[in-house]
Amino acid sequence: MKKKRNMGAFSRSMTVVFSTLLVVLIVGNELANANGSLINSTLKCTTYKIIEDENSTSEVIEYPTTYTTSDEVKDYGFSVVEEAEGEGIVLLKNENNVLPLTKGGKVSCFLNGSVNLNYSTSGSSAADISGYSTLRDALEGDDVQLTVNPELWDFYSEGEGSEYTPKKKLNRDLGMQVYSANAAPWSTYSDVEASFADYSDAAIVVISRSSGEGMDISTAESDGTDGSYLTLSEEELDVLTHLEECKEKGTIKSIVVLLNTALALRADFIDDEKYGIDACMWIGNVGCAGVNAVADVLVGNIVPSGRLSDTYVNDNFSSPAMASWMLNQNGVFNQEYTNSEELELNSTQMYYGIYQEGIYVGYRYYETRYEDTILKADGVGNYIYDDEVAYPFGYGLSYTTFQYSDMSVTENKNGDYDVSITVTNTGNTYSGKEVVQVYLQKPYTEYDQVNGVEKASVELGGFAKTGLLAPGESEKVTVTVERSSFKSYDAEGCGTYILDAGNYYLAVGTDSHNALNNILALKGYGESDGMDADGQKEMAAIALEQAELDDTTYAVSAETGEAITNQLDFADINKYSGNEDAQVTYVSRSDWEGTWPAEAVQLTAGAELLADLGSNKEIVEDESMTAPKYSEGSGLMVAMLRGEEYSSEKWEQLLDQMTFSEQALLVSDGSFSTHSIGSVGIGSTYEQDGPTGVVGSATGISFPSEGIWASSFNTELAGRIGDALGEDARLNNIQGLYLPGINIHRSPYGGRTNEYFSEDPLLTGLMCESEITGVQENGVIAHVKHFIFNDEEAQRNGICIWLNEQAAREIYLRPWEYAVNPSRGNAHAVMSSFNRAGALWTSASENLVQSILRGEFGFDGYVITDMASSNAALFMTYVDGFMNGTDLYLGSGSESALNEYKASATFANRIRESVHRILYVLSNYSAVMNGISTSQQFVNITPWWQTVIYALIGVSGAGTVGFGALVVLCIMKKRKREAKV
Amino acid sequence: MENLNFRRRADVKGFVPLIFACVLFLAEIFIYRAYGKNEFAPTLSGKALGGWIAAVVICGILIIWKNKALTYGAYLCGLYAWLEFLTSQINYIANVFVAIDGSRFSISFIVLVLVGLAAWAMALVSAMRNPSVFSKEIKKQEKGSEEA
Repeated sequence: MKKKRNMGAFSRSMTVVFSTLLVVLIVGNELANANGSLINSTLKCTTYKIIEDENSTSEVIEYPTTYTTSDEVKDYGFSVVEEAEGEGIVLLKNENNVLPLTKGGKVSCFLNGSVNLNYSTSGSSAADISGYSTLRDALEGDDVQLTVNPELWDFYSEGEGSEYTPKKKLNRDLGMQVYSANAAPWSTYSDVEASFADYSDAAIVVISRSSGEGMDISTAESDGTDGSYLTLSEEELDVLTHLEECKEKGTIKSIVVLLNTALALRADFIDDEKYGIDACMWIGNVGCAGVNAVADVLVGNIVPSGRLSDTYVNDNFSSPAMASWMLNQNGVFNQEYTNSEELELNSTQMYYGIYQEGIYVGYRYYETRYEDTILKADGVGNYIYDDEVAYPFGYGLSYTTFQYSDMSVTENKNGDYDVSITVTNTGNTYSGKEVVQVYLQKPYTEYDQVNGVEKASVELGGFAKTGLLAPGESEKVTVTVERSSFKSYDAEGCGTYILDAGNYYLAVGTDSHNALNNILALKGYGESDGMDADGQKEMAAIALEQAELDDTTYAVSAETGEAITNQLDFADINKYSGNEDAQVTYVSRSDWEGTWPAEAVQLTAGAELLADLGSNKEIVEDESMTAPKYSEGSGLMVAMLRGEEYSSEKWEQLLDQMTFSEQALLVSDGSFSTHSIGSVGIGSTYEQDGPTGVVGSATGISFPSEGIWASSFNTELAGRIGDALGEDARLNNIQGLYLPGINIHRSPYGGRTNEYFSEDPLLTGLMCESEITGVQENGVIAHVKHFIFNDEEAQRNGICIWLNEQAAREIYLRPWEYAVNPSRGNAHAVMSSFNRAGALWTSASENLVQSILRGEFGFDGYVITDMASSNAALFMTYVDGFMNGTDLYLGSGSESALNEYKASATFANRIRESVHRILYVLSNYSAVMNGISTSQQFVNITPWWQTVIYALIGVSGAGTVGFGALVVLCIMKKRKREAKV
Repeated sequence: MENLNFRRRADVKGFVPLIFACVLFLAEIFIYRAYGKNEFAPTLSGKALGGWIAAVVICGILIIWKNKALTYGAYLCGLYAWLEFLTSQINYIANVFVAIDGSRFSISFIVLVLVGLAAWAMALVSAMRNPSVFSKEIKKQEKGSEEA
C-alpha cells in the first residue's frame, strides 16, 4: 500500500516537474525564435547547408584574408593599434624639453587613471580589457626601461588610494549620467610621499575621463570645480599643486600630464603656472596595446606627430553650441515641448534640441570670431582669442622642429588646387613626421550677409603627412584641395550650393590658427592690428578670384548628376510649416553678440508637429504599382548575379523566386545577422559592433579612440586600421561591422565622442573613406553610422533635432559624401540613427534617405536601422522605415512580421526593393559568397540549439503525459480499492 | 454539512494560499493593464493577460470545487503568464542590464514581477497542500468514527 502511495506521490511530483518544464520550454522557445538571428550570430550557428555539385566548373570568387590564425590576426591587430596610438598622440606642451624621458629613469605615476587606464568605453565600443598591459607594464618594458614607484602604484591599486575610484550615477531629476573623478585627496598620500624622491625623474599624472553610449557627459553635479566632469576636480588640482611644491623643493624633477580620455578636457590648467606642468600629452583611450606606444613616446622611441582633431579650450562652455546647451534646464542638451504633458507625448516624442550655432562648430567658431575681431567687424563684442583657446585645431608639438618653405598653389588639370610645400626637419637629434595642413578661406560677402550664408574664416582644405624625416632632411609635400571645397550652401537665396564672388585663399599652417594668421598677413594685417602673432604671408595665396556668383556648377551632384536643392526645410524650425510661432536665431558672424544664444528656445507642438511625431503613417498607394510576383522559379542563384548591373532583368527574375515571407524575414530580422534564403542561394551573414574593435573577438583587439586615429592625420594608417578590423572580423566569421562612427564632435560632452573622429567634417570624411576601403577589401561590409544628426546621446530615442540646412550639409552631411560615394569610400551599408530630423525619424525621411543619401551622394547599398528592438518600438516602425527607403531592421522580426501590409502593392514593392539592395550588396561585396559557386544549392537547416529545444519540449511533453497517465492510473486504482473497502 | 465544514477547516492550509493566489492574479491583471506598457514594449502581451485570466477563472472554480489537478492548472497558467510577461519585456530587461538606455527597472515593473511570481507560487503551494491534507484528515476522522 505504502509502495502504491509512494508511486502515486512520485508520479504527481514528476507530472508537476515535467509540466513546469514544458511551460518554461514553450515560452523559452518563443523567446529563442524571436531572437534567433542574435542566437545564431552569437553561437555562430550555420543555418543552411550547401549541396555541392561535383560536376561544377564554375569559378568561385573569394575575398581572401592575409592572416588565418588567431595569433596572426592578433599580432597584426595589436601592431596596428600601437601604430595608431603612436601616430595619434598629441604633444601639447614640452617645456625645457623634459620629454623625452631618459631610459632607465625612475618615475612616479599619479592619480587613479595611472593604474586604471581608460582603454575603451561602454556600449558598442566596449572591450574586455582583462589581459591588457597596464601603464606600469609598458613603462617597465624592455624598450622603455623606466622603473615605476611601486609604493605609489600599490597605493592606488590596493592601498588607501584604491578606495577612490571614478563614479557614475544616474540622476533622473537632472536627466543625465553624473560622472565623478573621485580622486584621492592629498591628505591620503602622507604614507607614500617619502617615496617620491626615490622615483623623481618625472611625476606622470594620468587624468582619465570615462564616457559611453546612451548618455552624455555631465555638465553639472560632477566634482569638477565648475561642476562639469570635463573640468579637473579640487582633489586633482590639489595633487598638481603639491607636485609643483615637490618640484620646487627638488623632490621631483618634472611633471608630465597624460590626458587619458576621448573627451576634450577644459585645458586652462595646463599652462597655469600654479601647477607647474612641464609636459602634457593627449593620449585618448588607448585600446588594447596603445599604452606601449604611450611609453615609447615618453622615452623618445616614437617621436610624437599627432595634431589635435578637436579644439582645446579654456572653458568648455564657451562655444555657441555649449552656450545654447547650458541655457536648457539642468544643463542637458534636450528640452521638452512646452505642451508635451497636455498632449501626452511619450518619451520618444517630447524632446528636442536645436543646433543654434549653425556652421560654427569647434574651430570654425573660435577662428572666425578672432578674424572678425581683427577686422573690427560689427557686433564682434569683447573677444580675446588667447583667453578662449588653449590649443587650436591641428596643433601639436614634436621632439624635433620643422621649417616650411617654397609654398606654391597651382591649379591642376582637374580644376583642383595643388598646394606644394617643402618641409625640412631642422632639429639635430630626432627624426620625425610633420602634418602639412592646408586651410581654405572663402569670401564673406554682402550677398552672404543678406541671404544668411555663413562662412568660417578657415576650413580644413586638405592635409598630408611626411615620411619620417631625419635631422636636416627635406620632403616636398603636395596637398590637393578640391575646388568643390570652395562651395557653400545657400539655403535662403539660391537654394543650392554656390560659389560666391570674391577671393578664395589657401594657406599652409601648423594649425588652424596659424593658417588664419598667415591669411591675415597676406591681407596686410599684423600684430599691430591686434593679431596675437604676425603671420607669414608667403604661406598663403589667393587660389581663386571668382568674378561672379556661380549658382550652377555645384547645383548638381558630381556623382549622380542629380539636382541639389533644399531638402531639409522640415528640419529647420524657422521654415517648418508646423511651427507655431517660435523663431530660432542662428549664430551669425554678421553680429556675434546680437545672435549669441541668450535664452532657451521654447517650442510648442502644434497639430502638424503632433502628426509628424506620430508613427505608422498611412501608406500612400502608388496606383501604378502592381503586386510583385512570388515563387516563380527561374533557377537563378545569387552567385549567378555577381557582377550583374543592379538594374539587370536577372535581379527581377531572382526576386520573383522568393516568397513574401522570405522577403519579410530577411528585411525585418536583421539583428546582427541576415538570414539565409535557400530559394535564392544566399547564406546567412553575421554582423558585429565596432567602431573601435570587433566586439567579443577572441583576439581582444580594440583600437584607441577614433579621435586619436584622426589626430594622426594619416589616411593610409586609417586604411590599415580598417584592414585590421576586417581581418579580425573574418577570423570571427563576421561579414559585416557596424562602423565607422562619423557623427561630429559638436561638443566635448557627447557621450559617444570616443566613437567619432573630429569636429571637422573633412578630416572625418577622409579618415572614414580610407577606413571603409580597408574594411571592405576583406569582404566585410562597413555599416557607417549614425545617419544623421546623432551627435549627442541625450534622449537619443526620438529626440527632434532642429538645424538649418547649411549646417546640415556643410558640417554633418559632408563626411557621408566621402563615406558612401561610389568613387570614394563606397560603403555598402549605412546605419540610420535613433533621433529625428525635425519631427521625422531619420530613417523615415524620404528626403534624407532617398534624395540626399541615394540621389545626391550616390549611395547604392542598404540602410539598416539602429537597434529596433530596444527603446524604439514606438516610432521606428516598419511602415515608416520601409516606405521611406530603409531596407533592414536591426531587430527581431519574422516571416509574418509584415503580413498586415502584404496587401499593399506599394509596400510590397518597397520590401522587394530593399531585398534587392541587400542581396546586391551581399552578392558582390560580402565574404559570405566566398566559395559559393553558381551551381551550388542552398538548403535551410534547423540550427542545433533549436533542435535541442524541440527535443526537450518533446521529452517534457512526453513526461507530462506519461506521468500524468500514471497519476490517473493510481487514482483509478485507489478508488477501486476504496470502493471495495 | 458537518463533513463539509470539517473539510473546509481541514483544507484551510490549501484554501488560504488559493485565495491569495486568486487575489494576486487579479491584482496582476489590473496592474498590468494600467502600467504594463513602456517604450520597449508598447503593447500588452495577450498571452500573458490570457494566462492570468485563465488562472483567475480556475481559482474561481476551485473555490467551489476542489480538484488538485485543476489547482496545478492554475499554477501552470500563472507561471505561463508570468513567463510570457517577462518575454515581452526582454528588450527592457536587456537594456537595463547593459545600462545603455533603460538604466533601471521601474517600480511598476518590479511590482509586476514580484506579484506575478507570488501569485503562481501561492497557487503551487495550494496545489501541493490540497487535497492530500483533506483526504488524510477525512480518513482520520472516518477511522476515528469507526472505532467509536
